[in-house]
Amino acid sequence: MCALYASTAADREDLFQEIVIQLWKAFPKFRGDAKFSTWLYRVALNTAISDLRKQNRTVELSFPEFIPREMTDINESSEKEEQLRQMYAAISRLSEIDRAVVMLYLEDKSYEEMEEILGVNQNNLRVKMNRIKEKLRQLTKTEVYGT
Amino acid sequence: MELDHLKETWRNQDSILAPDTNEEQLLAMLTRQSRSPLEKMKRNLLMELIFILTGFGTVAAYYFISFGGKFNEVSWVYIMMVILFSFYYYRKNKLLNEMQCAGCHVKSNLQRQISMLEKYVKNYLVLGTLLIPVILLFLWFLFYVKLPAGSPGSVWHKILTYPWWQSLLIWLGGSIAFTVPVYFLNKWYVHWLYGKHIRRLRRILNEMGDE
Repeated sequence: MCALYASTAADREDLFQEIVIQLWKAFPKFRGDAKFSTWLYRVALNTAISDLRKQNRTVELSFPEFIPREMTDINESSEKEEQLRQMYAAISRLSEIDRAVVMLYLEDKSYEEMEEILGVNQNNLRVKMNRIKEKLRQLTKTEVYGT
Repeated sequence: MELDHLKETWRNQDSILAPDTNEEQLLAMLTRQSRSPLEKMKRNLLMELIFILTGFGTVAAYYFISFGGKFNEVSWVYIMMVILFSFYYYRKNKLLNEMQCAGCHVKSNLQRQISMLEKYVKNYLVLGTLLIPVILLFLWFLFYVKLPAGSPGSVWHKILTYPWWQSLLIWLGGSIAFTVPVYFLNKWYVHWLYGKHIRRLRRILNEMGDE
């Protein structure tokens, strides 16, 4: 999640620390009315989305800079690496909420769980997800073919 | 690129991207100050309270001790202002504490933040502006009752030699004329401080749709 909401290593570290602090502070209020993982995602996303400083983080970055440096160390096939590079570049151009939806989707969360985390109706999330997929397709096409 | 094909790759890169943290590092993180805007606002508010309490408290004590107790009223007014400010502090602090619900749905948390922040800005604007005529009225009382002679030949001297109601009316007129631009200045200032953030939160909330 930090990689999606922060562009530089320092920002990612800051965000990670902020999420840890918020989790620690919010934990006494956790009453178990939702799954622990759901609560975790809520705290993390609330911290990432509503934090003012992220205005700097969400600035659209040129694609090679946006990709976390650690990614270049991944011993993946070049094809997969390229896909990931494209994915990060495309996701960096999405809005804060769309990024959250994509992240939850990639984390294999069901629409029911997404609704529990985001508070957005499942039907709306499905529509949103379709739009995001289309948007990402367009963005990656632009990235690859430069059109 | 299809998003569905990337799920597995996404899961695999998690272990690589996750910061390398052990228990000690996590504990160290918890001892550091939060840099969230909300926590900064809370810290600033506390600093403001300490500044007012020590500053106004010192002035109140000074007027109690000096001038042979002739200006005790000044001390009482400062004490009254400290009480009013403590109430103002309590209200603002309460709003800040209610502003964040980290464990709530992202959407309801955004709604809560926007509503609380708007209340906070309104309080800031109304109370910050009201303070001006209150202080000016107090100054009139101080000059008229305690220093009626003033400095002969000055505008203040002339105003202070009128019957009290005329003097008060002139003073009130002047206070209003001064308060109006201060109101607009305050308005610009609070919007400069929080307007951008509120607009950003509103934009995110609108993007969530489902209204």
